[in-house]
Amino acid sequence: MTSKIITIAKTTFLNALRKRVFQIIFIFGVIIILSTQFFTFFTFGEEIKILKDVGMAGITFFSLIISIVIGSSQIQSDLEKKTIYTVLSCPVSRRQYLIGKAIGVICYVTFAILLLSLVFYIALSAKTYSIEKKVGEEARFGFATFAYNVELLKGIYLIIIKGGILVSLAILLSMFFHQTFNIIACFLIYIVGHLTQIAGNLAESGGKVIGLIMLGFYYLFPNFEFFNISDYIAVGKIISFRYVFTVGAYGILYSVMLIYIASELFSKKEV
Amino acid sequence: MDHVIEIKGLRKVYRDFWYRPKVIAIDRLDMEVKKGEIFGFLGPNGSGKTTALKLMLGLIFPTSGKIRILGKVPTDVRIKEQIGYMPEESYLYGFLNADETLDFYGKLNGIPRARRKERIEKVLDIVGLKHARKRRLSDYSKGMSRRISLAQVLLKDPDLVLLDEPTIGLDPVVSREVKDVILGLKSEGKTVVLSSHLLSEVQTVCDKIAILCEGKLIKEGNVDELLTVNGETEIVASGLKQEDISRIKDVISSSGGKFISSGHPKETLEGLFIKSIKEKQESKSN
Ligand SMILES: Nc1ncnc2c1ncn2[C@@H]1O[C@H](COP(=O)(O)OP(=O)(O)O)[C@@H](O)[C@H]1O
Ligand SMILES: [Mg+2]
Repeated sequence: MTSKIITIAKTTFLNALRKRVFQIIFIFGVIIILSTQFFTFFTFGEEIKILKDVGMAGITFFSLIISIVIGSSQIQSDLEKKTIYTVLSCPVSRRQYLIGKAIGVICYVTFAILLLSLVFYIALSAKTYSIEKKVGEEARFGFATFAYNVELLKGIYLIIIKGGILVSLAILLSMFFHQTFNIIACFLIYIVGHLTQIAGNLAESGGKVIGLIMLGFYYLFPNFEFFNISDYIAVGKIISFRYVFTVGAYGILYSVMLIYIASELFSKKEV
Repeated sequence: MDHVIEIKGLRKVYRDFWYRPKVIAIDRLDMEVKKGEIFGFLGPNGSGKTTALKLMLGLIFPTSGKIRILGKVPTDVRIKEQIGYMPEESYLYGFLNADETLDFYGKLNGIPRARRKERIEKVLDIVGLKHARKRRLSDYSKGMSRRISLAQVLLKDPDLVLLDEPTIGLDPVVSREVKDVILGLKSEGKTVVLSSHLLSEVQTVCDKIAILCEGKLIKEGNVDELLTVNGETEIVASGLKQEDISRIKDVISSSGGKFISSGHPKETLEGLFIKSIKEKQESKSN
């Protein structure tokens, strides 16, 4: 049973990897990150901070685009090209198919984020090296204190989890919408997902009706603000493991729930 | 279980976005297909052939009525091991080559590794794609795409094969090869259901046909029986001279029959075409 899910996931992963969006956005991301090498008009501390900021923002942005574009296209293209007919006339349940697709795309997004993080890390190390050399300290390549590295990993982990939610969302919406509309809807939900904290506050302070609506809003939409720790990382704050673990679990649960709903809908969908 | 396919009172109404009925694609269809039969769905475009096949596979769901495939409901995943389906128009993954594609479908069908390898060799041979096995499917011509689609069906060695317009848009040579594959399946005792609007094609391969029109079954039966013109007899002979023919005419009228026509039997255009192409290819390879 699981071997069929793996087969579908693997093919999906390879298929996504060949999409041109990947190459374009990846090259774009690399250029942004590398371009930070040439900022020299800031003071020492600021320069590194800018690099960290821009780098993490680049990875976040990249993961957003790629999760939504690939998540919304993978099942949709099987439906449009009717590849789904031949796949579903094999002994593969619709649930297995959907889970395989989701895993394949999430693996792809994870891979892309890790790759870009690696580029970022090398750029960061090189920059630090050159600066330390300039100020005459004992330069060592591969900078970054151990503490910073750990914080960076936490940040990347949460970006991946967030990518997982977006992929699951795009897959769920592809049960209803074509790709263009799906992408727009995902972006809207992404924006709204950053406002849920405000809705939560309104739920407490607002009147009865507004409060109730806001409460529903607060629980229904994913809270993407939770995952945004790169600002803290850049200024050297420490995020507790407890927080990372809790938010990670929240994200995974949220994704599983979305995939579950999608697979229920898919088992009743005419293809 | 004597019937591979059993359909009773099947109805399929396509609905629009607001769930309002739009098209009645299948209307009160009753039919049965026995094991080992080659069954042809005939009908003009839009008569519901594709809809009927998709219903049998559980890709879409009936509005009402009953379908049993190999004794089970179409959504039962277990029966899919024994069913092969070649859609009318479908693209397999363009970034995979033939080997990778068949490996993918082999795995989805749960065929163990060693047997998978063996089957892939065999079906590539049957559909004649060995020379292009490492080429990506996105670079395949229409004929080759159909061949690989057929290979995907044969790979699992299914008991029941559903083919939607298997030869549409193919040149006569490939089309003939596809027909040969279908006849091969028949000789192995498989059951085949195919749809087509090409009458001659159905006539040459099918045992039984059903004619669909606007979703309704308007005629069903054995091809031979349906096409036999009762009350007339055809005689084919060779080496006759003109005066022999007038003597035969006399015999016919003296025994109370009526002479209708005589002449030279014609080869079909398809036969002539295939024969000429074959001759040309053989002379080239010699
Ligand atoms: N997904 C669909 N939604 C709405 N109508 C459809 C759909 N698929 C087919 N139809 C309609 O159902 C009828 C039968 O179509 P189809 O089964 O494809 O016929 P055939 O295969 O015999 O050409 C046609 O009128 C067609 O327009
Ligand atoms: Mg059709």
